[in-house]
Amino acid sequence: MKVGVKLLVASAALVAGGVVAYRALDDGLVYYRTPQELAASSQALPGRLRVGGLVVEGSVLAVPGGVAFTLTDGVSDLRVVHTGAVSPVFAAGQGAIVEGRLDGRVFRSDRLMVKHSNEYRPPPAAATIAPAAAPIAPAAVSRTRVGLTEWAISARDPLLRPGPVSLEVTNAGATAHDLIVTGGGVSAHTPVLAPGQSATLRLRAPRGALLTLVCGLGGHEPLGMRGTLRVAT
Amino acid sequence: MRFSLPGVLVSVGAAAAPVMGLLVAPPDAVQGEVQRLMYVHVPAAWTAYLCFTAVLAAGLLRLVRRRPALDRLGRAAAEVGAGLTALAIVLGMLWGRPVWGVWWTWDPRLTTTVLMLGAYLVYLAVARLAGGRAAAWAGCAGFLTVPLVHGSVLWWRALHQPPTVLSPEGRWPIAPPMLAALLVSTAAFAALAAWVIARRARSLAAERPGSPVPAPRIGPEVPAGAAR
Repeated sequence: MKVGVKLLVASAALVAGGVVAYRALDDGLVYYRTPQELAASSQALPGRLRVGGLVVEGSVLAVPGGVAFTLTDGVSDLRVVHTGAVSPVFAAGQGAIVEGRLDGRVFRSDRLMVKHSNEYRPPPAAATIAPAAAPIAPAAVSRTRVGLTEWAISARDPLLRPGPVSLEVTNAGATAHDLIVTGGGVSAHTPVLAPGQSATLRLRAPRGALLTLVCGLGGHEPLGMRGTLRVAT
Repeated sequence: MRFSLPGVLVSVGAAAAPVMGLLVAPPDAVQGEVQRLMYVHVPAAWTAYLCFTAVLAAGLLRLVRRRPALDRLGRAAAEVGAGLTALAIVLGMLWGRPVWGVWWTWDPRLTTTVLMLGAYLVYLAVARLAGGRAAAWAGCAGFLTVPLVHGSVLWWRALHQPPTVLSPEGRWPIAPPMLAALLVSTAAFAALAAWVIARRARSLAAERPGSPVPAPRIGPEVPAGAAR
């Protein structure tokens, strides 16, 4: 009897653990996709999806029964039309995760979750987020977008033109990040960017160089925040 | 009236934590007043980690030497830890609804926290049904859920925000009065948990078959007016 009870408990625990682990693997490990991942998959993704990113400033529009906005990971943008409840904390410049379906190039969401950052501070006397430097650059400059998230650095174009280039760096994550670019004699970095902030990094790309991108905040590089950009010969 | 040092510490903490959390700490710029839930949600979760650490320590010692007091300590710590894990989950749901917009979602942090609660319950079931070495092994194995919960927001994409204080970068993006309130509340939770665990371990000792059950020690021990 006692052995039977033990076996029962052990098997019940095993089944419960297995169910939870399955849910975690199925749902949790890739809890949401990024707009870039959606853009990269050529065929239309069927079924229900979860997409996360940063709500682009100035993109939020009230629509009947919901809200429309653009979600970015710093590299690709996704237009979202959400129908349903909207958290009062929802705002541009913050993270959001939506659930729904891709309808052509528009994502139709019915569940909107606000992903707030890990920063806590009292209401500011003055605005703390400085506007990004206006990226007005000559037409000859090659430029690309670099997105910083937990825990990845992604660039829209892996190949740069030699000469002056500008990187539009966006922190689309929920904690602070920066970007350090080294290699081929280049050494440049952005200031530490708060979640939602962006900056333009200008540098001179040497012909044929391999530039290394890392986040300089402690512990972020080993978590996956590293990447490379190649300069054409 | 008799004062015990642990009792006094727990009382001071219980008095100081609400003052810090409700009066000293300012409301959050983004989340407003509801962010004050942090001063109970986070200490509950951290103290649940500490309780599992106590289960682990008691389990490891128990595997080395056979002492029933270690079994009782592990069980008491797991009972408190399971309660605190459940509390952290419920408070997190209350916080998530107004801020995230949902009560629940199977994001990695939430999923692994449920797993940690499950590990506590499995340990308690094994402690109750088998006890001894089997329970110690279950406690040590269950402890693995603690780094899993902590790492869940670092290793995987989550809705839950990354850690603020236990972050890898050694940089605390939190206003000093808020951090002070969080630390005071955490100390209060930890002291209360230690006190309850000690009392529970003692009462479990009294439950042993064959030993006399002492009279409850709640209230005045000596009738009023009785001569000493």
